[in-house]
Amino acid sequence: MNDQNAFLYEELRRLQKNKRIYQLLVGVGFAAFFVGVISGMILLCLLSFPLIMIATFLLSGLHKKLKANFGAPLMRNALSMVFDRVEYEPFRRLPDHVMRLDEMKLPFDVDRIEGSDHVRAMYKGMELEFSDIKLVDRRSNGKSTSYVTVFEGLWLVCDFGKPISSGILLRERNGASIRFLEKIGHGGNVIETENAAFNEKFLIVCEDQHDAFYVLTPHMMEYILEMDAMGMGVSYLRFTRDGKVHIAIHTGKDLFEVDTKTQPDMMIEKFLQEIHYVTGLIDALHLSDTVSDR
Amino acid sequence: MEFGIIAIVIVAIVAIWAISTTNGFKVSKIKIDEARSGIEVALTKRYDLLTKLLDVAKGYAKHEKEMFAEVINLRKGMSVGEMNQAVKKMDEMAKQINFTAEAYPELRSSEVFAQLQKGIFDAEEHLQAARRVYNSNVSRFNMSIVKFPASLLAKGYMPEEFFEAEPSKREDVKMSF
Repeated sequence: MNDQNAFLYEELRRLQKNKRIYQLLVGVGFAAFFVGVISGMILLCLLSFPLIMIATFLLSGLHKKLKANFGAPLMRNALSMVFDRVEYEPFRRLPDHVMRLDEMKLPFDVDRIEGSDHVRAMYKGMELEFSDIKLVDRRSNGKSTSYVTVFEGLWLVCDFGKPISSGILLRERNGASIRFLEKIGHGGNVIETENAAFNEKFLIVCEDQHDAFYVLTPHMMEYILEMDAMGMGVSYLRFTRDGKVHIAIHTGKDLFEVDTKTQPDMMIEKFLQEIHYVTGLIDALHLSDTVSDR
Repeated sequence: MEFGIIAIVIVAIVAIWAISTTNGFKVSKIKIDEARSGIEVALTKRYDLLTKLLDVAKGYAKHEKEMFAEVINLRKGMSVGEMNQAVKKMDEMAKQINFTAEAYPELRSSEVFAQLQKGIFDAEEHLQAARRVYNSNVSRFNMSIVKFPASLLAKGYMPEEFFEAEPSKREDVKMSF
């Protein structure tokens, strides 16, 4: 076992031990509280509160330590095996100026953006950036307020190599979408291509019909359908004016998460699988071919 | 009285439908003209790049007597048939340039040649897009003037001509091993 792996195994053992201790302290605190209530010992009840709070606080901080001290080095290793010029920030997400959420015209409101595992790297000569993203909508009915997660999954930005004059949006249709209302909702900028299966699957919005057909070649539409089939969730795509493509896939889960039960070498395998999922999306679209042709 | 109101409402609905349908035909015609103009722009760009590429090729193949460019007249308002002819001539030009490049490796490895080839590749993609836009608009227009009851108002309109598929795409795929 090399030095770094030995250090990580040691770190994992330490974190597992700490987790057991904090869980035990929380258990002891609750037990002391119940004993205090049953026996009438108010002092015992009062002492159990700070114990429970401190142990809970330490337990919640453990996840961050686990990610920073254990997950992040493993993730950097895994990323370097696949990508070049890797920059990885475990607690940051894609910045707002990169996401440009308002241009994505998602079919729901968003009040809060959360995320983690921000990666910037090069893959097959293309610049790419991705992170886990969670979009939350605040809903209020006058009596109460609730926060609903409307999107949770991967958000990937990659070179596409075809600059265009207006952006193109692709959004998976749900079964209930009404074409006539879609046309009204998007000011007549809804595009229909000659691929009926593609039109059935995706709503295409673009101000310039030529740009839409320039980007959505017959081959590209087939590639997008293939990519969508492997996406494991609802897909949103946006081709931007500066030659980038945004791929957002609502999988309902975070990638690159760590836990105390998985050993370092298994964790790297898990990360590699998830990284290959990301590169699989890029390869399914044949983006490296499109970029290299320019 | 009630019958009169019902009659007025029906007449109003029919009038609105007739106006919107007729306007729809006119808008479709304008879109077809715009799309045709898009093809002209794409053709001009492709032709400009091909002539530049041909000049570069001539620079390397100075002794080749057969290398000449047939002048292709591109002008505004060409018919679909004329545009199809122009495309065929440009395809011949591209073939000629490729044959020359095969014979002169130093031409193939030239930076200028590589840049121009990339430009032509992009120009051909734009031409392909412009054709598809045109055909899409023509298809929509042609369908709209034959569907009942809109066809009752489409008496003065004739179906538009589609742009041909590229000849190479209509041939059987040649397999070579």
